[in-house]
Amino acid sequence: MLQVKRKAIISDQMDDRISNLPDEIILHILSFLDMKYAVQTSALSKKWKYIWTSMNHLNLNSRSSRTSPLFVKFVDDALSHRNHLTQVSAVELSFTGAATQFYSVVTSIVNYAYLRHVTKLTIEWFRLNTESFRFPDHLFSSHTLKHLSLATHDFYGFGVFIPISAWEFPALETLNLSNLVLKGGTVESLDFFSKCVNLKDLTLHNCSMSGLDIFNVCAPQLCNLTITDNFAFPRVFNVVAPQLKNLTASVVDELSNFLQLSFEDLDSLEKVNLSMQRTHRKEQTYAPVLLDLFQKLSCVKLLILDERIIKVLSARLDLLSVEPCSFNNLKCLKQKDGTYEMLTQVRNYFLESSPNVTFIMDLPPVLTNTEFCVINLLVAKVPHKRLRQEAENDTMSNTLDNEKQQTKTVDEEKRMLEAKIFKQDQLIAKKKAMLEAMEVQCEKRMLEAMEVQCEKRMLEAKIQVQDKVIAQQNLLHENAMLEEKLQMQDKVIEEQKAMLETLKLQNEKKVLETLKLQNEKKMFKEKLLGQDKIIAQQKAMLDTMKLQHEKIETELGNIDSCLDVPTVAVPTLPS
Amino acid sequence: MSKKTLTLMSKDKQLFNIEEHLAVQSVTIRNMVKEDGASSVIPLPRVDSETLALVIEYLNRQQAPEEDEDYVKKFVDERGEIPTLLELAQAALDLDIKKLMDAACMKVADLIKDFTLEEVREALRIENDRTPEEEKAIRDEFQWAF
Repeated sequence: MLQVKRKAIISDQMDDRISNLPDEIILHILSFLDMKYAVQTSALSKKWKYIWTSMNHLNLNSRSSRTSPLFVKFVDDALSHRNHLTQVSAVELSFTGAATQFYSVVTSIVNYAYLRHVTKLTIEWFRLNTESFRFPDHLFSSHTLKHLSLATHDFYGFGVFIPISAWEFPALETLNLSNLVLKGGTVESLDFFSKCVNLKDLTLHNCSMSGLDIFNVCAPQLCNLTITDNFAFPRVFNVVAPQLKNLTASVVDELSNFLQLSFEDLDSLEKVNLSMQRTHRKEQTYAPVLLDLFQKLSCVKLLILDERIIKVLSARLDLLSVEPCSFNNLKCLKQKDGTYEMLTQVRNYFLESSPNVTFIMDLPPVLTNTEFCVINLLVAKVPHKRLRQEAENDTMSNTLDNEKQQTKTVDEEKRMLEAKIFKQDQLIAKKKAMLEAMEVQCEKRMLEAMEVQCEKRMLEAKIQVQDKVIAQQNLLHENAMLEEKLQMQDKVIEEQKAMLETLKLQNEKKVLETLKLQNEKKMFKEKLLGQDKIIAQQKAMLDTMKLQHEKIETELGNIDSCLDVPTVAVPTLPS
Repeated sequence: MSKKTLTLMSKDKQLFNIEEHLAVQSVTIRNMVKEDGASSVIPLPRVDSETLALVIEYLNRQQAPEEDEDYVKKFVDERGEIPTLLELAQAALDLDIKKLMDAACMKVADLIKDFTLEEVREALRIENDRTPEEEKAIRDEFQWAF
């Protein structure tokens, strides 16, 4: 009872704790989710509304939007709604769509993230068409970026370029370039990394450097260099990397030119992993260049070679017997992929300069442990044989001594030896049979493995086709969207036309009205003028009337005075 | 030379012993050891005993560096319950064990990435404190993401 109660309490507490998750944990969980999903968590509760705006790890994937134009808009909206006080540590972009949209989304991200001291940027582009593309220049200049990965995936071959001037990445440590064209116009020598002074890991996978004379990798801190499956090498691939520890390279490309590595100061080299891509030319023609490359890698400790390279060497035993082996520090030689047994001559070639070297055969994964042991025995067969012969020689000399001392027992000894030899023969026969059986099994497994690979290739092809279909559907979708937009815009235009017409009509009315008003004004003015005239006339008339009035009055006065004369002034009449 | 042992105490007062050189994978403990030699018991007031037992199991792992990533993934995979993972994340946050924190949070993200919002609320015990109208308003505000 008590236990049950305690458990209940604990789980209640647990529930409580979860609902009060600190923002730090929520943000950490969100950082592993797609950005769109993260924004949608704003609807979970009031507390969650703005949490997403402080994420510092953004995962942007165009598959989260219905069309790529919608995705471009989503990115702009999401970036503008973020909490602008938080920094961005990492941005991952996976984009499927056309070049113009890709360019605008990359520009938005770079403008946003470089200002906020991003340290990790991963860009992956699934191209849908053949148009050539160049990454924006300002992508290649950041003082905080430590890890950069640029990759394209397409069905159309190359056409994605990067700026050829030296990149400004003083903090960059890891750089992965995949499926890009590393060349520029007529430039013959490239030196991308001269300002990437902290570069430690460099991977060039599936890139093209065709037409280029020299490709420079001058990186004082470089530890790991991987050059795999590239299309077309430059004439010289120049590496100045005094700290280089690990080199992985596939040394031949489909156009049958060979990776010509030129190295300086490779004292700290520890591991070299060389493989050979499929080639149309006869493999043995590569032996001299391969030995030349070995010379430059002379201080390596662990050397890993694939089956093809071992075959190339096996085909030119004449060369191996003349040229001394250049490896003077070799501790371990590992053969990977395939079950081809290294010839004694090839083995001796490596043993010659490094007698303590260990040989390891890395088997395809389909082989089981017991079979691995058998192959190991095969690998170790040569020294074993030697030991056995020495032992037999010893026993022979012993018997000779005994013969002198105990001549009687000679026959017995002889018989015993014969019996021993018989037994050993039997054993050898048994082991041979076992080995043969194992070999048959090995072959079976190999066939199975090949079948599996075939299936895998088929599936890959299928996936590619499906990807294409998806891409087409995406395009169709975009078209439909665009058509909708067009229709919408047509409607808007029509509405605006109608509005314009009504406006025009109103305008005309207004003009007419103003004209009328102006006319009326004129009429009034004229009336006014007329009235003014009349007033003036009336004034003039008044004046004349006044004058007449005055005249009359004076006349009247005169008359009055005349009338007064007889009464008052008759006596004084002057006349 | 015997290896030095530290004692950690969970929220519910249970004691766990662990060798110091393993315990210092936790940056928090490393700093404590540096400061005062961590002679006595180290209390972890926010970690319960069940979770602390898991953390101790994790710290005691004996893996080669190149296999470590796989081990951490497997470790959290086997404890794929969201409440347990969140408790682990909380403990890893308090103890500052980055790999465990990353793995636990990544696993939670992986589990909820296809959930509807309602399912996420249920899984993370989030109470929806908005009215339907308020929720609609949020969806309208961020309509470019829905």
